Amino acid sequence: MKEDSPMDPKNLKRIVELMNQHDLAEVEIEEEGRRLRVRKMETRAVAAAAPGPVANASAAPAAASAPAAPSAAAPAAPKENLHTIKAPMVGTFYRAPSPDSDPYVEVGKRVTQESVVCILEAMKVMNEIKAECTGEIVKVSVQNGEAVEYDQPLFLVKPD
Amino acid sequence: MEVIRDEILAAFLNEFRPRPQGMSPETIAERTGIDRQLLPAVRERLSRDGFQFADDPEGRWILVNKPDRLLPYWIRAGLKCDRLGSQIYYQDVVASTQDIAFELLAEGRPHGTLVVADHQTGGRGSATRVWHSTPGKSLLFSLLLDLEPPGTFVSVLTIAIATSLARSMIEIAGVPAKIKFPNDVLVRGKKVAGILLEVKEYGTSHRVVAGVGINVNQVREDFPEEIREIATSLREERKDKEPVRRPRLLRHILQDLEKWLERIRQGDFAELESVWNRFAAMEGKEVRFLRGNEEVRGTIAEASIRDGLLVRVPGGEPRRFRLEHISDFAFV
Repeated sequence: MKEDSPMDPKNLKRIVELMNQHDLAEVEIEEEGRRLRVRKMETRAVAAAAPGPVANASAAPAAASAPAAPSAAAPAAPKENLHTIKAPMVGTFYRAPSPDSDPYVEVGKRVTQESVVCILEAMKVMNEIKAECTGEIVKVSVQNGEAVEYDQPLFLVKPD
Repeated sequence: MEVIRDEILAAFLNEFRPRPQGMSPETIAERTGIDRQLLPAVRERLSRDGFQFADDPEGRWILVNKPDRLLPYWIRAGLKCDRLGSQIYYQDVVASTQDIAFELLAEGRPHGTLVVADHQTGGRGSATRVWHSTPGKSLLFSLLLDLEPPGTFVSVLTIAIATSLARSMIEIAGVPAKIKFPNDVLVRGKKVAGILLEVKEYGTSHRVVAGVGINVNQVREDFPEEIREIATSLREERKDKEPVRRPRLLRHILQDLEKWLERIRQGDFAELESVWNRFAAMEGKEVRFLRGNEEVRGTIAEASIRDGLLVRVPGGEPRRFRLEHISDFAFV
């Protein structure tokens, strides 16, 4: 990555500012074989709580590289301070380790940093996703078997 | 008895590989830097592992037989890799090379660490399936791989490994190998190899354990009856039905894969995509697959590593699907 590259996480905020300034819904930048796509999403539910326009940055579909920075411009947490567990990768969402097992978590279940909450499968690779926070699951945002995008909210957790 | 290091055995054998006419011990000593006095012991040690030597009237040593054994020093002899196979662990029989690889990962072994076994008693396939192996006839290995650059999708590794497997089978065994998306290799429609990538703690680790199982020298009767119609070996698919040397096949795979990993690291996907496309042969084919819970049927217009599949669906605009979202893929 070049110095001062638009791919640099610290420049993401600047990109979002430029998008707002020029009223752009989506920007795609390509540099040295990496691609970054920043797309503003409709965030009606959140808009009231968030000062100014809210952008949801999501990494490019590039299988190549997903610059791990999107949290820089992540949407504000929806009401009462809930934590969102987001998809760290693209894949198919499974709530249980196999079709006939119980789901890893249900609404009301307590999780800790290390708790596995779901599997994201991509090209037969099973990725166990951990809660990486402590609290109680209050919402499962995705249906079992659904295709999820990078950074898509999967669960809402009420932190301790 | 003196223990002879693997580096010495590898250096010794490496000199013989391109020289069927043999070499004098003096030349070997000179070329490898191995002490002339030690050479008879090296030869003796190798003989015990199945290497056969003969002597010609001029006093040259000739390597007349090389065993088809996956001994670390034999894999290393002539292996042109900087990182893959930098550490090699071999066992005759294991439950699964994946389990050992995960132990080595926990110990912090480097990228490219290789685990090889002659036979697995609990080989894993995708989901809860098993991988059958026959002692002495399969090539079974696991590699510790770092995702470079961090953030690289694991799916790219599957593509790189599948491409290396197919190419190596074509070049070493001379069989028409094809990739069956995403993680199998077939010859004439029958499965000859599978890839199993496993990740622990996604998001906190950029390390992957890549497992490969290849049916190399099985004959038809070696396969359990229930898979005889769907599985095959490289040997069975060769015209001359001659066995394939597993160490040679493994070296070729590692060397090919190292090249792709380096390209991926540099963000250069062009050639990988073109070779993968040639072996996967998806473009223009009618397919069905699932995207999440949705069944999709159509004709593939384009297959790209980064942009996924462009599919012409009946009565609509062509749709794009990320490779990572596609499951239960089949040609119609």
